[in-house]
Amino acid sequence: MSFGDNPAFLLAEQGIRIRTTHRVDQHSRRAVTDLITMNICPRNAHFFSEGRYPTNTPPAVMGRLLHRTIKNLHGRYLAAQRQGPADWIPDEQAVLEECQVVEEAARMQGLPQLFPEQHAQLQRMLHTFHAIEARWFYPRIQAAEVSLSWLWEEAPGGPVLLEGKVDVVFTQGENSLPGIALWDYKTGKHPQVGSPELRSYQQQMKLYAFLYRQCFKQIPQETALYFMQELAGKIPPTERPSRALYQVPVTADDDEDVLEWLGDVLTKERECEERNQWDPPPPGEVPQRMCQNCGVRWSCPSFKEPFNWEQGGKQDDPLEPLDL
Amino acid sequence: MFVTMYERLINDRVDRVRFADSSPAFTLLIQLVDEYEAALRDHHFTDQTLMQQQALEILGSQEGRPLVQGIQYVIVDEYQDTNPLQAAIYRALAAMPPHNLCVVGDDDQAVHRFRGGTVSCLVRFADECKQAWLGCEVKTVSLTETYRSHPAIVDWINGYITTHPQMSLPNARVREKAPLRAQLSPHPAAPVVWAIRGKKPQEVASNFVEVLRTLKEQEVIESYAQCALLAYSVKPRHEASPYINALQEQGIPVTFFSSSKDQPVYQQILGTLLIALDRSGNFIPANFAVNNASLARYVDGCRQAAQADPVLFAMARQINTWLLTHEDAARQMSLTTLALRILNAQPCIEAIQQDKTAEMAAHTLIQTLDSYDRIVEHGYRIALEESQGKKRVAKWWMERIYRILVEGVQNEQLERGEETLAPPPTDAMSVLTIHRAKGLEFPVVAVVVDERNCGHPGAAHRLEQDVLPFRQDLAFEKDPTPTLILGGDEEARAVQDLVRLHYVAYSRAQSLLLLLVPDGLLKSSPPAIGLGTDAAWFRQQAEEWPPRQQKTRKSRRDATAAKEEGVEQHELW
Repeated sequence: MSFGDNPAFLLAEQGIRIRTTHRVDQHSRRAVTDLITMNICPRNAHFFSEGRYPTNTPPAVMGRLLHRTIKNLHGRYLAAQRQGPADWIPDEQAVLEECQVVEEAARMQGLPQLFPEQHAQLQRMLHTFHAIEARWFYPRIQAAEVSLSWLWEEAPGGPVLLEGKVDVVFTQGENSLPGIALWDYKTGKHPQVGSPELRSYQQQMKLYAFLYRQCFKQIPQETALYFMQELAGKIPPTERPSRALYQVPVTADDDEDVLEWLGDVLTKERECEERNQWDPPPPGEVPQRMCQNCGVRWSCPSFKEPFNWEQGGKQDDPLEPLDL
Repeated sequence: MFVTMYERLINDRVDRVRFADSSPAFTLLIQLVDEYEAALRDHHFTDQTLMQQQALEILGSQEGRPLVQGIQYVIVDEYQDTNPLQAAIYRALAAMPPHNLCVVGDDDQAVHRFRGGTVSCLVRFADECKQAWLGCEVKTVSLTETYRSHPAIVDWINGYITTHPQMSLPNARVREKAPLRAQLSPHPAAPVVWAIRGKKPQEVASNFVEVLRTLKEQEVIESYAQCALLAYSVKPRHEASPYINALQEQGIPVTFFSSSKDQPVYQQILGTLLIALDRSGNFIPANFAVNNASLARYVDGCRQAAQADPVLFAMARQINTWLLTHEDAARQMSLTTLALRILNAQPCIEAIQQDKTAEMAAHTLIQTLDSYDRIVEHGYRIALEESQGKKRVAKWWMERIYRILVEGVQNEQLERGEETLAPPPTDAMSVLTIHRAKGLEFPVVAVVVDERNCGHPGAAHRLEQDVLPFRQDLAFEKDPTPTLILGGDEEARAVQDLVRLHYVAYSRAQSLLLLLVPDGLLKSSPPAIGLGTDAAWFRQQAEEWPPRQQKTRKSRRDATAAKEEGVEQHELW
């Protein structure tokens, strides 16, 4: 077969038009933490959202070590339930052992090591947390690091798969209703009431509770933040300090507010996307801890930090990141 | 080379003792393997291959039993690229009766032999399962319906894959594989598979550009972004070069689905980093240019990318001075932290803000540097030394950066292969390698047909054959003849690989497939593998333009005229 004409003329002659069909193979996905970041600072969310660039500062590493140690101890608790001794609860020695294993693993991954003071602080937090909570807490844990996801079909701009990971899900006390509690561990201290940090954490817990309801059709009876550094004083507390646990009341009536909040953030994100403008809010509106750990702070019109080698540039002194 | 051999030995589950006993060279190889594994253990390191072997060991152990007890269903995708070790892991995961193991794959798209993939795992899946689980039933479900391509393209790829006799050898393909069936098209008879020919590649390129321009002018396509140019390699001075040059010379915008390392912003950041640490390039290993000219060019290109920008060049010099004069500056900085700051320099952050591809490239570089800092440096610092009473970045440290980091970047050893850059929101035509195109689809696909017309076995073909008699998973085979198990001898498998590669390229096309064919490829005997087995067969299957012998001259009418005459308009898809 052969034709004298350019194939394009031949196809045109036959009236053929090749059109692209846009197929959506996967729903757009958004992590709860990224949406909270987006709400606080679009610039940080767009260029530096969690996991985009490595944040391996010692404070960030400490948060990971703390979470990993508790998760591993829960794994050991489950193994003991299966293979015995069935009444095993992590004691001080087990906590320190596991903490050492986790630190060693991080060291082998080349992650920066903690400064001696940070190391001591991590051990104090873990030890005190387990001394106060372990005996009643571990037997009630249903799952640790629970992934929650829900497809929001009616999201502005099209369906979105919302995802989140809550640190621990456990059953409430034996004598009360057999409700479910969600806790999220925070490595830092209890932020000031009314601060942007605390508002972000509250919103995060409301979103987790909402996702939990969508996934399991059950309203969590308790939703709370556990501020671990409240346990890290020089004299270890023997019972839970009042500032360590911050309850975030959640009811089914919150659904409307949560959806409205989600809709607003997704709309804001879409507007930024359309304009390709990810401007930060004015100075002072973003928690300092977020700015101090942001990888694009040196070019940020709000933050305006000189490079280390420029006049006025200072030594890195990483704050603990906003622990979303 | 060692890593290739090591991975093959582990992935193919070779009995080390028997293998080592079989020849002095293999004895030495196994000694090296033992030393390598001991070194990994000593440093608490592992690698991907070893992790998989350890996973299999755990799953088969007493401790591993509880792990698989709760698993009811195992589903594996892209099974054509799996290897015997991975196949054993999947079976171990499905160890609980009734062994619900479901694998999905297309043996004709197995193009990862060079990475250790063995298509025979898919082809012999049923046999292997029956051997592992006596009496088990293996059901085969043929997924023959394809929703991607125009029926004529589907006919072409069906014909192409079966015309090569090497594809009919036992175990080369899944037995009795049914041809693909296309969806109905509103315009089934449209000529949509074309060979764009010419005496030389430059002439083919010129004709190709003319076709593309006309497609756009005649509104057959809406945008060049609907088109892709695929080739075995898209590197400069390789076979795709004449086509890329012709497109660029004629003002057709092209965008490279190239690896991140070739993105300008990637080279700017890396170049700034290299100048900041090695201001005059004194530590570039002397043998770079001799041993690896392209690596030397790459280093030079990165440095020039930074030098060409006054902001970046000034920043590099400032960093250098600061590192050498401020106490603790080098101790608190790592490659990653420095690069993150360079990313904030005005030219880089602007590029990132304007272009998603640039943003992804910068992201890839930072992740790569982080891995280097953690795994090679094992921590975060920049090493300094005294030389003639002056501080400088340590020579050994800097040479290591060139030899491990930069060489790894340049050879794409440090990038994750699956990463695909986002298609740009422009009118640009995509240019990408066939390997990178796997899994993608484009309305119009042009393929630079590879010139090879016979099999050239490589190390991967030889190795898989050499280790086959020692594979533990084949111990049950009465006669594990390599050519039978693997689907042919080395040469036949090399041909099969090329056939599959072209098959993958051709099957990316949705509506129009253009094969770019210099005449020599058809005239050689046999013709190039990408064109089937003989020129006569090829000419029956594909339209040619420009025609070799003009038999008829059709009157040229453009689409406007056609519209005026009331010709019905069709959309292919």
